[in-house]
Amino acid sequence: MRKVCLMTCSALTDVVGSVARRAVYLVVEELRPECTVLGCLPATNAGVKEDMDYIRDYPTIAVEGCNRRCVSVVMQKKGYRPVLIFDVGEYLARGGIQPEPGEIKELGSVGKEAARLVAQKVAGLVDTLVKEEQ
Amino acid sequence: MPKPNPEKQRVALMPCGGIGQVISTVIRRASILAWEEASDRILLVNSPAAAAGDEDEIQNLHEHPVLAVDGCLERCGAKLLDEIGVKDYRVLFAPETLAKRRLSLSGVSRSTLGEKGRKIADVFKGEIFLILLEVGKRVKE
Repeated sequence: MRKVCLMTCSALTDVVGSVARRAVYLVVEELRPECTVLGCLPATNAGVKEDMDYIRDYPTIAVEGCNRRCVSVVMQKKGYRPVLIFDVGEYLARGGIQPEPGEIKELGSVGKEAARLVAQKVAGLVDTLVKEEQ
Repeated sequence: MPKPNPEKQRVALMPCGGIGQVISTVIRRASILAWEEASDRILLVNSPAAAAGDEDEIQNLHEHPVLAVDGCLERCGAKLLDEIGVKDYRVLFAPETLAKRRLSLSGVSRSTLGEKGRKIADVFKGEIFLILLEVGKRVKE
């Protein structure tokens, strides 16, 4: 089975970054471990071989935190594009989900639930891509 | 004599923004803790946003002394600073701190850290403050 690469926003000062990080961990470690790899944004920017191989060899979902679209921009710098973009900030806003800013360093119940919901959505996108590859 | 501008004396702290290794979660927590305790002395810089060309983040890196915390041998933080032409920076290289303090991350989860991971993050927060003191002295000189 071909894999899907997930690369996420890792914002430090916005709780959306914490939600996005936890969500991709859930997908890669629990929901779809057999068909996902975790791409590292700073490592991709630094041209680290493993991460460059991921975005070259696998379709990549950019899990973005906001409209700065850091994942997509860094991928484009390296000559690649994500096949799908999932905007965590937009998704949370649409659902009226508001983790507390104080949850940045450690998510509380709202942030964890937000991450679970995001993870399920992203896992669904992974399934779609895997089916297309077959 | 002009008064020193406290804003300019803040240090731009740019932690590893990685995701694959436990150490990046430890560094992330340590940096947020340090920033929460000393936001008058620390500006927190998002390395992924700087890598993506965010003008505010890049300006902060050029206008303040920088402390990058690199998590692994790839040294992505230092490479990014070189890429954008930042000259005035120090690097806290996490594997060296782990070795020096005889700390092990075995059994620590990258998604939740747990008590052991949080304690190690506290050690890194202390290391960050030690370097901030040195950088602060230099800025005053």
